[in-house]
Amino acid sequence: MTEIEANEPNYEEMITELREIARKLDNPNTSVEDAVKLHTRGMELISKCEAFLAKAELTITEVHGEQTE
Amino acid sequence: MAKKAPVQATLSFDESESGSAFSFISPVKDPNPLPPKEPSVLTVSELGERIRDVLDCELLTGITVTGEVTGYRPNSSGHLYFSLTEKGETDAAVSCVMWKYAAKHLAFPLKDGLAVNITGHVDYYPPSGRMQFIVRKIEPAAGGKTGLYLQKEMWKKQLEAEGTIPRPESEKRDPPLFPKCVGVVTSRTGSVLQDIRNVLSRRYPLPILLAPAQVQGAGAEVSIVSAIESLQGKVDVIIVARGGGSFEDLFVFNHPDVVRAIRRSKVPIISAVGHETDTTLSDFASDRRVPTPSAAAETVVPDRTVLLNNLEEYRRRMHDRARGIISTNRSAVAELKMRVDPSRLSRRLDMMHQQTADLEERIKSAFSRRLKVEADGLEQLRNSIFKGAKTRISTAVLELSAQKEKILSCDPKKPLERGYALVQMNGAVIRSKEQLKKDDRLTLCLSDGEVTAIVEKIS
Repeated sequence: MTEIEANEPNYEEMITELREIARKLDNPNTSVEDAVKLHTRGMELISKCEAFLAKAELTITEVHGEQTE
Repeated sequence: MAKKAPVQATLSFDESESGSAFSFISPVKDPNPLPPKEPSVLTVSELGERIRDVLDCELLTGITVTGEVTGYRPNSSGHLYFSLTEKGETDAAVSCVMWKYAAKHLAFPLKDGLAVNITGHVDYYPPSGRMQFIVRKIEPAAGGKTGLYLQKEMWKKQLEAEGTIPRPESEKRDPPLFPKCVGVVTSRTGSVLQDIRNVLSRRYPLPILLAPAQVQGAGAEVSIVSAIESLQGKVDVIIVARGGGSFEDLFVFNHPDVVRAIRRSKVPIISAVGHETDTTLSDFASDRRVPTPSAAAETVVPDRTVLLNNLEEYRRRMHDRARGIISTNRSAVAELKMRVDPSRLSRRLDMMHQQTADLEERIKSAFSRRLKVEADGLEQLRNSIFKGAKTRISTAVLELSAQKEKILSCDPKKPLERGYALVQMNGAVIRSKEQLKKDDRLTLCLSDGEVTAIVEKIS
């Protein structure tokens, strides 16, 4: 099982945050300062998500620990 | 054939030695044979008693017999009548009855053609001369589809009774949208693992933790249960899978131990056993049932291509929105800038000056008008006063003249001008001779002076 770094949000959390960012950006009352920050954070998250998907790799390990593939 | 055979069997069991359900009876030797006695003629009831005595032995009580149910006749009283038959080289049958008290514990519906194991004892009923098997318990016969079918029905009832199946809709858990690791319980060999691997590899590569299990045959249930338990806490979702096969091949997935293990799993379990038309009891205990192992793999992970497309859409949408917000704010700034432009301010000041001048003019004009009004009022008042005074003075002059005339007309010296004289003595006017005496000195006032005179005579 892939170990996830303790402070690194997982993919689902990143997608959830992205949705929230998109929602806030849809709000016309969002200030321009916030919009810039949200956009920066959104791009960062998208890059991380893409990197995560690009790095994703299939391994098959047996439950007793022997990696078969 | 089958219905009649049991009656015949009651009188010929000593002869049915080979292959029949009664073959085990043949070696019976009465442990307490009747003592030889003089040949005598038995009554039917005595014969019946003897038969019952012989049947009441260890070898014919508490025994289990296997065969097929035929001539099933449930009685309205609740008792079940049927024959247990064996077909083969030697056909054989025995008449059976299951009394109501035992029948109510029957776990599955009895019907003709079922292969069953019946447990009970052999009895003889003298009034009808009938020997029958009194059935205490019926179980599906081991092996064979019929038996397995019944076994499955029994297990289903049992698992339903204990609440293991069906898993309530409210307790069906969705697998996580983005699992980190998928557990697979299946055979180490075979195409199932490869099918799952191929789908996951294509859609969303991630670590697979395989718990190899024996998926059919003796002991498979133990292997599957152990595999499910070994994955607990290590994966986000478990696929319990087996490729297509016969009813018997898939049968272990009906086993109560397997079903219970699936039901108590703390990790959501996807059941993918056999093909779409196959249903096992495991399906009822799982969180989701899918028709094939490939479908299970598609169920537990999203499609990476779709995710990447979604991310691109997010990127585009965020760019658009951020640009929109910046653009809106730029417009607002431009508008504000225009509003604080110096020329605009100058115009504003000019306008304010103009307004001030207008106001000043208005105030002056108003004041002037007011002054004129006041001056006019004063002039009018002055004229009025002057005119009044003039009139009054004229009147006074006239009055004075009249008074003067009047006074002048009353001047005591006036008559003197006409020749009269005013007589005075010692300053007092003399009006009567009585006031005088001889030699008094009188002053005579004439119009042009005074004359002193002396009285000479009074008459």
